[in-house]
Amino acid sequence: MIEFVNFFIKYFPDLYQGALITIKITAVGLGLGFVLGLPAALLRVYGGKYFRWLAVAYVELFRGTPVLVQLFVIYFGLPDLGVTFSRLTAAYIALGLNSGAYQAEYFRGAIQAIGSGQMMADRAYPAYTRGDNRHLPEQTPFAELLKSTQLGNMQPCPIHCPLFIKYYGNLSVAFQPGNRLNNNFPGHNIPLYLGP
Amino acid sequence: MTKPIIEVKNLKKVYGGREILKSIALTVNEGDTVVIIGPSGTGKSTFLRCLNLLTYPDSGEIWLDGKLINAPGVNQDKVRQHYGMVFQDFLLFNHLTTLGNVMIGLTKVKGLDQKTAKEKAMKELRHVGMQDHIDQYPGQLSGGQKQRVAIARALAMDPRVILFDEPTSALDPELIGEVLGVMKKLALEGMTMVCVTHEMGFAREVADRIVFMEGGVVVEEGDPNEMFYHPKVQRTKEFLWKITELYASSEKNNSRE
Amino acid sequence: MFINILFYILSGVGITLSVIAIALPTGLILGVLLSLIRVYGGTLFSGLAAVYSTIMRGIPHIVLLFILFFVIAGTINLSPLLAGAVSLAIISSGYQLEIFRGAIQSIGGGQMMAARALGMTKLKAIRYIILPQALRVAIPSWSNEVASIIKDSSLVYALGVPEILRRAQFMSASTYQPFIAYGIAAVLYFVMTFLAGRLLDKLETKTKIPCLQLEK
Repeated sequence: MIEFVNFFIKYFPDLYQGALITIKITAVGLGLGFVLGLPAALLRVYGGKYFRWLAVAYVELFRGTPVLVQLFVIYFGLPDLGVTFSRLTAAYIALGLNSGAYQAEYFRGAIQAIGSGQMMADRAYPAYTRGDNRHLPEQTPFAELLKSTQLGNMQPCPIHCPLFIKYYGNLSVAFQPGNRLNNNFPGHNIPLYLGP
Repeated sequence: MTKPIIEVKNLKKVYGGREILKSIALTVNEGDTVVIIGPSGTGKSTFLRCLNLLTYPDSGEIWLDGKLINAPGVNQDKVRQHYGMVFQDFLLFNHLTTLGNVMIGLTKVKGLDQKTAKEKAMKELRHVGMQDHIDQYPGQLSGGQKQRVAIARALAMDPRVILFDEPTSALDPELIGEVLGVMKKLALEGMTMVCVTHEMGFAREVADRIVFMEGGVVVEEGDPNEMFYHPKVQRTKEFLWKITELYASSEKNNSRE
Repeated sequence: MFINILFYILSGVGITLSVIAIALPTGLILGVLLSLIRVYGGTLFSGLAAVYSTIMRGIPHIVLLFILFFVIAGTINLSPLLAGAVSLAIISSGYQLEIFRGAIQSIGGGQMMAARALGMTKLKAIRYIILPQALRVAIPSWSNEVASIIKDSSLVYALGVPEILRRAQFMSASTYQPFIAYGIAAVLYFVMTFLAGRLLDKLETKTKIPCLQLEK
């Protein structure tokens, strides 16, 4: 126990830096995920044949493959095709895309739960069906979603994911201590507080 | 003088700080049909569940066939085999067919072999008139059908007493009759029954004794004639008057000959 | 060139599947047992199970993997593959605990009461009444968790296990074709999660209880 505390004190600055980065990545990841996920969900529920397919492809691709692999493709693979990102940017993109796919499903669930009833109301009141009808179903499910426990579930993913970044950069929390210590106490306590 | 099957003395139960059962005494003789009536939330269901130890009483005595069943060290599961229970929301096992529901007690609790269990189950299903539905699942049955299967399930265990906890309260009015019909049949065949119900017509016709319970105590009890026409306690009068008025019209629809 | 990369990475599929084949059933058994403790254990054990679930779900998988791996490998002499798979099972059991807990609770307390009214012991009731229903109800959520395990198997590359991602990494470094290498890896994982999802959908249809009504 005492060695745990000593370890923590000694490496605190590193852990602290790592924690900051973790928070940054989480925030950007969630934000980007929202920006991608909501439109994707809307496309999937309301879009025409081709747009819907696009949304489905995006969601299935990014939910059906490991985040780590996505990260590697973006950071290591894309330079092969001429597109290079910094470590941090690659992290933002990969986590954003991944989170977006999951958020799209949550939003889709919320929309579908509320949607059909609202759409029927729209049909009955034609004033709503031109252009405005996007707003009507959108507001309620969003509120529903915020209340729903689903949102709580989403947190862990972007927080868990930054930890992967360690392998190609001493960016995130876990790697530094893991590197210096070959027994079982990496800096797990910080993610634990950030997590649930 | 028939020996009482059930004797309850001074039963008490506290739930969440409230005394639900203050001091209940009851005697049930073999072949009796005892109907417990009273306003909702006054402990009638709790009392019923104490009888078969689904809810364990805090103090008092419950005697079944001359044995004290709420003593420490008594095997509660074995005790429950002597009771059958029929619930307000049926509580059939959803993953089993009608036949499966009736058989499972026989095979898994009593340890009978498949053949014997099936015969007994079919017998009880015929008894309640559900023999044509043996391969259907509870989700495919109507409320009245479900409840009849539930009764068959209870009967299959050859219980000493069957406890009915508001068996028709969750049913559509048109379906109440078929269930009451089965219950009436059982009563006439001499089954010992303790029923909590609001069906006054049934109580009047079939009960050997009616117990009016309120506020965790027995307010009054007596045979149907006394209770309905010459109640002694004022509160009993009030309650019965209100209930009978309310159910007078639906009784006409429910009585099944 | 492409074919070389492909075949080399494909040879990792067997390893990946082994990891999954160990982690999945172990996690399932552990998860179901723990969920039973969570629902039917007394206040103490139920609370412990809750803590277990919070820890497993609150810490990033890769961090947990390292912790568990070092603990396990430090005490017993297991290969990285086994130790990694067992660690994954332990992590997954935290999620599966919650899945089955939800399923059991949605079946409702009434089923247990009715079973006991027949004279069944709690154990018998769990085995013959609760679990048959809960397991079926849990299949959709569980299939999500299966996909999770398949994807998390990529994490054990960090322990040196020569599964798909590790091989992709090797190929990427030796052939300077990272996009192809990692792209193939991505496709392989996708195919696995897709097939698993389909299989479980079939299972759900086959075992469906007609017209089941659940409590929320």
